[in-house]
Amino acid sequence: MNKPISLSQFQRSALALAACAVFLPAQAQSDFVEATLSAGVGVVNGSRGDRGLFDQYSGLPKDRSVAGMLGIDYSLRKEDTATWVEFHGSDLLGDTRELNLVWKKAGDWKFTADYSGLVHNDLREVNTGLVNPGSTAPQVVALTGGAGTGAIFDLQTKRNKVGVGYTKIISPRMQWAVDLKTENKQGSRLFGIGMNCPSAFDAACLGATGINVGSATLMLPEPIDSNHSQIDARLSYALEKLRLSVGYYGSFYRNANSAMYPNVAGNLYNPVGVLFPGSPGLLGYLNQAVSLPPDSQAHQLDLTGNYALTDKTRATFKVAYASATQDDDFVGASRIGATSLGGRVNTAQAMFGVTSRPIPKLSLSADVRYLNKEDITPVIAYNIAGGTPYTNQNLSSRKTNAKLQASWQFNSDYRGTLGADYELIDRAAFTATSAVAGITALRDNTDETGVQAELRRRMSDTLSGAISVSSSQRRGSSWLKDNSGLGVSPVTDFADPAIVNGIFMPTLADRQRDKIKIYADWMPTKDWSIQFSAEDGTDKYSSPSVYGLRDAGLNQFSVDWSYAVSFRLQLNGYASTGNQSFNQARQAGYVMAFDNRNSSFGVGFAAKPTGQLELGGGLSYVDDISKYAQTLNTSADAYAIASLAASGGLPDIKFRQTALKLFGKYALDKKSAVRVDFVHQKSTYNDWAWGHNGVPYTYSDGTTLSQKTDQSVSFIGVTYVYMLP
Amino acid sequence: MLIKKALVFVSVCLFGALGVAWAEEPQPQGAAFCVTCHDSEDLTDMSRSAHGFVADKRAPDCISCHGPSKDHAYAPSGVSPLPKVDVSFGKQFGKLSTNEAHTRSQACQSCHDKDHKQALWSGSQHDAANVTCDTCHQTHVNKDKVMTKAGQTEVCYGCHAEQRSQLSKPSHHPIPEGKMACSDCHNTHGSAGPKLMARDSINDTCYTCHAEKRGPFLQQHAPVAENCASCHNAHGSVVAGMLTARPPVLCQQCHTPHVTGVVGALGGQRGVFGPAAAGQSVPQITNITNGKNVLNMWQGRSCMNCHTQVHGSNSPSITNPLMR
Repeated sequence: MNKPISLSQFQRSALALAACAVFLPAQAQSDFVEATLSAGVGVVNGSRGDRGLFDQYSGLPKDRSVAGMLGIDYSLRKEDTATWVEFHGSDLLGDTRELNLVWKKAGDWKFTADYSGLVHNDLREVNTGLVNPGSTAPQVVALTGGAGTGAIFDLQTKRNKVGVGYTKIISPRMQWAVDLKTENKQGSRLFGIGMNCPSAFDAACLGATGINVGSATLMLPEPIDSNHSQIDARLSYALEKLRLSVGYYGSFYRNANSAMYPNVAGNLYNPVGVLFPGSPGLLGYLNQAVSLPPDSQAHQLDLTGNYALTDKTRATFKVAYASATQDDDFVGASRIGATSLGGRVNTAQAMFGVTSRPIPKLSLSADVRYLNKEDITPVIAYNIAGGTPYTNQNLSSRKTNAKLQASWQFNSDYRGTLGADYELIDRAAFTATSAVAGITALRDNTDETGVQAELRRRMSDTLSGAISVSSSQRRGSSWLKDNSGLGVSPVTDFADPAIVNGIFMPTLADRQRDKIKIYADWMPTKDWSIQFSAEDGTDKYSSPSVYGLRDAGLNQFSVDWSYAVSFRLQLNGYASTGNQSFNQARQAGYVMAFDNRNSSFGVGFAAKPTGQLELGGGLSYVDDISKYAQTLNTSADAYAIASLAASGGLPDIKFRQTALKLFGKYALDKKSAVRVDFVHQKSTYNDWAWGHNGVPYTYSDGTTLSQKTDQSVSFIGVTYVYMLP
Repeated sequence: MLIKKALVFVSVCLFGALGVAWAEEPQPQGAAFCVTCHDSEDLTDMSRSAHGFVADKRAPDCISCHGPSKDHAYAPSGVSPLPKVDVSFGKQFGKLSTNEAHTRSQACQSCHDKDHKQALWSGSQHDAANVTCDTCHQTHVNKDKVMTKAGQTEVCYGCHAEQRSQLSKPSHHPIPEGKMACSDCHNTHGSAGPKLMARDSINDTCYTCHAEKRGPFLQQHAPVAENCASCHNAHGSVVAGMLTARPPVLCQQCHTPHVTGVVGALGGQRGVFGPAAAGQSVPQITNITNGKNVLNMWQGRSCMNCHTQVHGSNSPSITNPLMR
């Protein structure tokens, strides 16, 4: 007969089983969840004028000083199903909120979704009498009380973007991915119109001197209401040696506003600030519709990949074909009855590269890229000037780039590299039935050849550095001068005053470019890290004229460092100074030596003095000065001489900014914490474009833009962080 | 009863013996052996990272990246210095790694080269400059700094200090604010475009956010269609619109000026210069002075006060270029 097992027996059995369990492999099984919610409030201290720079991307409404802050972080990992969900949300109560969702099954599929908002506020404040500013039908009403007596208008653009993506690993070799994004952009930005009468095409538009205003500039905000949608789809395939993917990219731009229709009537200010009626001719021009960006779309197919030719040599390649079209209806009638452009630009591209390490000390790489952009927009005589019809212009081009590089590891301490590169841009023949405006000469082709050399050295286990030099030279085909009508023809007479006194585009002119760069990396101890870099470069331009851009230069020195004082305290910082300059001249006018010096430094720290307290922050300082030093060209006339003497030329433009950012986070218990953020930003920015010596630049209706020179803002935010169960 | 007791005793002895036998086994296999020395006090927590997600069968272990490293793992005790692992990571040429850049990158590429975004890594600017995966990426952490917008920028500044200076200027993309990252415009892992552009050209990259500039337009502005960088410095500038130079100076690098105001002067403003009489040679703005004056030339939007459609226009009905 079987007796029931007693408790003591059960306990011993259990002990045995427990003993067994100790030596058996553990079963890993748990879902891992992390979720935190943060909620708080922030306060900004500073007037509207003080917040011009601070609010550029802050997303804070200009007239509000208090903002709610809400954020969420969620992560769920399920080990048994190998799935992982992550959700992140920040600034959820503001206009720059971001939400991201990633949901994936490792090795199988991944789904993503995101939303983001971005607000851009213009630095300047508009004071205007405009009615319906920012709309497609702004009405110009001159401020009879003078500049500054109008209403405030904020130039602001808001972007809202939604994206979804899906990736599926079809097999160990094949993967499919598709991403869709759509973004709405709304608001208004700095824009406007102007006209000067009389013009070459309308001698009568000036009106009567002393009775009419014959010229005007008007600030009319560009009304923005558009959508841009993009799709990226890709099928990737991997074999043992080959990686290949086929992709499609589509871009669709739609603008709800095809044009702006200004309504300009009544009086306008002349340049000396007297209100007169606009001349009928001038008003006719100012009331013309202003075409806004048309709808357009682009599609691209590509084949991209790489192939291991051998275990030491790999090839990369990409071939692509794209077509961009624009066939939006014209705003207003065209002279010849066409209702749309029928714009089409097809671009074919091929890139092929090879890298090889034939022997351990030697690495080689080479690549060639060819891009053929074919503008096949119909060429039609849309315009007529002085009885001569002229057409739109095709902008086709073919671009070839080639690069060759070889590196040799001399020994464990020295590595040298030599390289050469080449670029040829063939801009195709100028559309003979089109007209050149305000250009001395053009060029069909430019080609540039460059060489580089670099030496890297490891001085010790803790110190390494590199020095590199490069030099390139650009030349081009014959110059082609404007025919003062249709088309261009070769420049043959280089003594022609129009050539001698002309300006040749720096993107086409002969150029000598030289650059040297030094870099060092030092880790004196495992806690210290210091990087130093210095570079100096010059561009020298050469053309048939001494005018235009002659040369440009830049240099930069910077030091970055970090120091781990202890496992509780880390420090970091940087210091950098750089200079950019160029020399430029115009005939019968200025010879300008432009110089911009930018110096900045920053220090930061991250500390965890106790297990509950976390601190961090940084202080940064920027000092940027732009100087526009002018002397006079030998051909300068009396007006130029008198202008420079009376005005003293152009004042320096200074931008200085000091920013202090601090945060502290204190854990109240295992689940909750309080975080305090503090930011103080002090700036000086005296851009004279919009005012000088207290006198604002004033548009013809009295509109002005202003920007406070000295700005000071503080922000403090308190956030409660709670870890959800 | 006795049999049951015997069974328990035998079980305990058997498994206990086996346990002792296992304890005497000198090395656990594979990566399990690594953690006998490199435990949680030695390495930062990466359990919540993609590499630490053990349910993912593709997740690597120590040996996947660092190699078998037998000399390091089974070095006799007391040997100093300890032989390095087969593949170590750290700074270029730095104390922490003596492995070639290619070797270090290959450890990562052995898994990640199937990612189409890295298809053009080989021979790319970063690869050619010996920038390795571990130069920018942190693996033994839960949150890789370079995978967040704000953190990524700090990593890039380590080599690209010039761009840090440019981004500190007042007109800039919202990168210092953490709303954009370098990787929004650059594919740091290799690209068919110049300067590691995310798309095949600078313009195509700009059009991903600024599609309104794509056109083509009826009235074209050739340098716009050729290269946005002809006029803009996308990293930042003291000039509004991130222009490389202030108008009219920028425009006069290509165009012959057709206005007065031949020197940069903020003259002609009301209250600065008085009205002129005929024949006077002092700078003057009068009611017969046209709109192409020194004021409109050097202030406001300069040339764009009138030529506002500088990126191109689809208007067919105007003879004056880029104005409507």
